Amino acid sequence: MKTNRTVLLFEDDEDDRPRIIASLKKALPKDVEVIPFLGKGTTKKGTYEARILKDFKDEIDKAELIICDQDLSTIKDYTGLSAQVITAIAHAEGIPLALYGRGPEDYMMKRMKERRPFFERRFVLHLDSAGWDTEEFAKKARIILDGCQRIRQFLETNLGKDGQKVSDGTPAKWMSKLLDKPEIINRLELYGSGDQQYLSSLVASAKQGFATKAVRVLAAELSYWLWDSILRFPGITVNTVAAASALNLSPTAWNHAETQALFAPALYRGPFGVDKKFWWRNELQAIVERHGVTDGFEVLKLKKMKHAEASSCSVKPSMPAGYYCMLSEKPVALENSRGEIPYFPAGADLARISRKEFAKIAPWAGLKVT
Amino acid sequence: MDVQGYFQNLVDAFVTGATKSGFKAVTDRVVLNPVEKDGEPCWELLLKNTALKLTTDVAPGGGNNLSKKLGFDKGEFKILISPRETIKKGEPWNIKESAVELAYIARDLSKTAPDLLLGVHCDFSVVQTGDPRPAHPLFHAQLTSRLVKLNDLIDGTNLERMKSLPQFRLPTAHMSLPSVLLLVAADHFRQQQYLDFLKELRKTMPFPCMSNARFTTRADGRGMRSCAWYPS
Repeated sequence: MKTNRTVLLFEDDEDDRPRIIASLKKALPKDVEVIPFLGKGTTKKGTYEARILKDFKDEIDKAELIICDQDLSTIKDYTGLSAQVITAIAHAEGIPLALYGRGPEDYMMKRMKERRPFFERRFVLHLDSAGWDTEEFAKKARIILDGCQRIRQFLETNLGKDGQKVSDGTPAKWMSKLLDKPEIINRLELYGSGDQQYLSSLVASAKQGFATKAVRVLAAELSYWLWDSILRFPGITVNTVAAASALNLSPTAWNHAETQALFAPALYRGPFGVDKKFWWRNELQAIVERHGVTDGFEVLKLKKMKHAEASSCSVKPSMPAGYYCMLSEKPVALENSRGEIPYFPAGADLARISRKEFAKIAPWAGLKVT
Repeated sequence: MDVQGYFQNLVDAFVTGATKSGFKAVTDRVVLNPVEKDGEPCWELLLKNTALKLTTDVAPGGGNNLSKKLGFDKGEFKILISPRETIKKGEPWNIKESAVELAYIARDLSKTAPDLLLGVHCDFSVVQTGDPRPAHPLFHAQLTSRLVKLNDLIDGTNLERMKSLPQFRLPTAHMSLPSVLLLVAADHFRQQQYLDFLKELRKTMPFPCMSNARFTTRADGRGMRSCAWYPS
């Protein structure tokens, strides 16, 4: 009997649910079944978490991803069921979790205002209530599913499905192997040295009887770590704006086909590198150094590329940039920005906040203004 | 040999140890600029943002006991490290010149300005041309308030404590960047983090070039590695 991969959907709005399912079915692989949680079940006593784990054990065991509305409350027989309960189940069972909410996206600003840590062990999708693009939503869900599967398959191959070898390494070590970059292990440790110390306790507890789930749990946690920390905060990898800024190139110069071809060897091709492009920061720098110059602008001038144009800081355009503002998502100069933000990973040396954005957010986020 | 990669790894490992020991710190990019020294191609090593900065809070009952040591209840303690090294190309384990500035700064929030508790400048030069400077130990640490590279970062800091010190050049092991990082790790990291960093450092530690004939006969490069001077 063929075993389908499944994605569980927790959505209580009966009008939205079929629309979300239809979009997901279109975007996800054909062998993936989208199963909506409709409540019911035979167990009536106990916590919601215990009831779900008992009545829907098969679905939970086969689930490769849970997609859950942040505002659950009206599922039949589960009145008041919250995303927190589903989050607890996802974490315990090692199922990657993607939460979604309605309203315009303002992710980083919102998170800092609420003083939430930068690593929250879940993916976040978005439904913009003004113009809900279900296709974009489903496309992102597909990227998350594919990325998580790739990480899980890597760990199953290297650690064994029963997780016997989980405690042989640290999360940074497994991540460096997953990304095939042993040389960045110390930088990965820096991305893990703050809130992610629990990742190490996860590995240690694999010895103590949760080995059968160890691979699944570790796969989910490495997925969150990669998506929400390593790829989000420039330092090890850089997104397109951060790449241009770090190389001292204007966006136009960076996006030019000739520039892209020149720096193509540095492209990131790991999990989740589909929707947005990322580059390996060290490899970009190595390409510059091989030309015997100090930055990307010098490389383009050396090669007499007519589109060569230096970067400019989004706060003071007469200055070159070099860094990336996490709130405005624009290039920024060191002098016009603030670093050492407690919510950012210590390894993300390119991640800063422009002085203008910092002045707005600091009182909310409990940061010192001076 | 990937010189940038080696030093970057070391800096990252150091900052990891610092954050796990309770400091707030962000790593920095190690930059290598091509230069010439003694007619030979070399790398000049700098940090992109000039210095590593380790900061921790001072509060009563704090695990670091700083409130008692420094004599105030609320504030901040900061360590700044800024290197400039010249490394011979092709033989990455040889450092021809090194100048590392180290500053310890305490900020009592009841006062208007932070205080420079200690400023140290560690340097050496084994360039072949010219005589060594008279009365200068080859490798030395100098206590000073005149910190050139850190000048902008300590702007507004009260330097009085260090200004009145007499000239003091202490002969030392070669205190290049890895050595200074180890000094700070040994004094200020938690035990496990210090041991982790020492282990990382001992995998390889750059030697100074001993190409100056005046010193080659006197010194055995292997024995002068500072990491050999620490127990365990």
